[in-house]
Amino acid sequence: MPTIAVGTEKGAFFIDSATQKSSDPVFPGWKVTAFGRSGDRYIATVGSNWFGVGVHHSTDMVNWTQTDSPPTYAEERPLDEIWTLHDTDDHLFAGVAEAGLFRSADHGDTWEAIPGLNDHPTRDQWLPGFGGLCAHRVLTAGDRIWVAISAVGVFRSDDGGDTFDPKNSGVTPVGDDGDGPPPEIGYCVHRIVAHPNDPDLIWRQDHRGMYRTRDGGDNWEKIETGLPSGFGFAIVREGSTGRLFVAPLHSDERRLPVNGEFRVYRSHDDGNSWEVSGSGWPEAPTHTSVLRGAIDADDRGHVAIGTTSGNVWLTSDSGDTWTALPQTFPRIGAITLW
Amino acid sequence: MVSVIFPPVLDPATGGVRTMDTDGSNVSEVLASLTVAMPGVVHHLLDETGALRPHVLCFADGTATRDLTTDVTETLRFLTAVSGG
Repeated sequence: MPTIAVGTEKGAFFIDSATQKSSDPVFPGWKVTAFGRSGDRYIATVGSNWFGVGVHHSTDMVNWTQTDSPPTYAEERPLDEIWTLHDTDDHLFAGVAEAGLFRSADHGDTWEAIPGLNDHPTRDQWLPGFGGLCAHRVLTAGDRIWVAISAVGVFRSDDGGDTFDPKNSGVTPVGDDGDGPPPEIGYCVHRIVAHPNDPDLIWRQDHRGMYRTRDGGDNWEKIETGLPSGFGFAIVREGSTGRLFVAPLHSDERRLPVNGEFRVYRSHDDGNSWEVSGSGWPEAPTHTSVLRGAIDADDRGHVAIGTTSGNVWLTSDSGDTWTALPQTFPRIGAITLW
Repeated sequence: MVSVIFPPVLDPATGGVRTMDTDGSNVSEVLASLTVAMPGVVHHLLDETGALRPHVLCFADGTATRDLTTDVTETLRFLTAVSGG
């Protein structure tokens, strides 16, 4: 059974999913923004309205050490938060706000900026979403790198990060008025997730709906059959079944479950259709939501989500039954299964 | 010798050290010494422009200051401002 790493506004908590026991708060008082693995390290990133960002590592999830050098722009550009970590054989990537991409070749001790994205020719046109101007998701496959930036769109590099191109064809832009050609940027992607054996097959929970690409982002199609709303933030794929899981919300304006019915939806067919994921959901109206980083799955049937009201929900049978864990935490922004 | 005093919330960054003796005759010099003694801490106190972070309070020998050229002889205390949630 996995350990559930929970990143909240006021610290991290590590839950033994077998016993449902939680650790005491780790990094108490700090917003814990992302988790990752690199080498033998568990990695947690923190961000503070007072003290900025930090990168911590551990080999046991108990004793943590802060690195001396978190990602930092060479120029006077603020770096307020590390939104995501993504590990490959060679590098640990970090997506940050203000939006940019960094990578580390030493498991997070030191970082180098990726100017191909950070100084992209369109950068002076980038605008933030409600959560800020942030690079919140990184995917890789060989020399290909995908980066999701709010509220700018998905960028793809085919040359290991030297250059990036926007890849949003078929997606409705944020400010779409129905006139004129689609803009190059101005898309509010919320989260992307790729098929592990077919990296060009990517699902996209976007501000303007649920989308899928089969060609690495060259073309996107809307896939919302069965969903109560196309709006939401979270999406994940469980490995043993290939099922997709999303947490729809009413709309941009409301950001609450439709009719107070807090449910995760799942798809058995790569997003062609969606249904409520199993049972266990509250009958009473439950007005909470799941943020983009607060969802994770493994390849053994486990999917965990964290809510903005501080609850963790877990399934161990690929979404047939769900259980709310007994704890209540601060607002949850990050969930990872270790 | 100047004693730099950290707030408890910085424990994850300082390893639990609350007071560190350093050299320097003004705030900037003390922070330069602190960069050597505790390299992972100063970026929590200064922002990307080199200024004190907006919600960090600094007291040089008991007097609040945001001027890094302020003289200090005994204590340099950092606190979180009463702001934020």
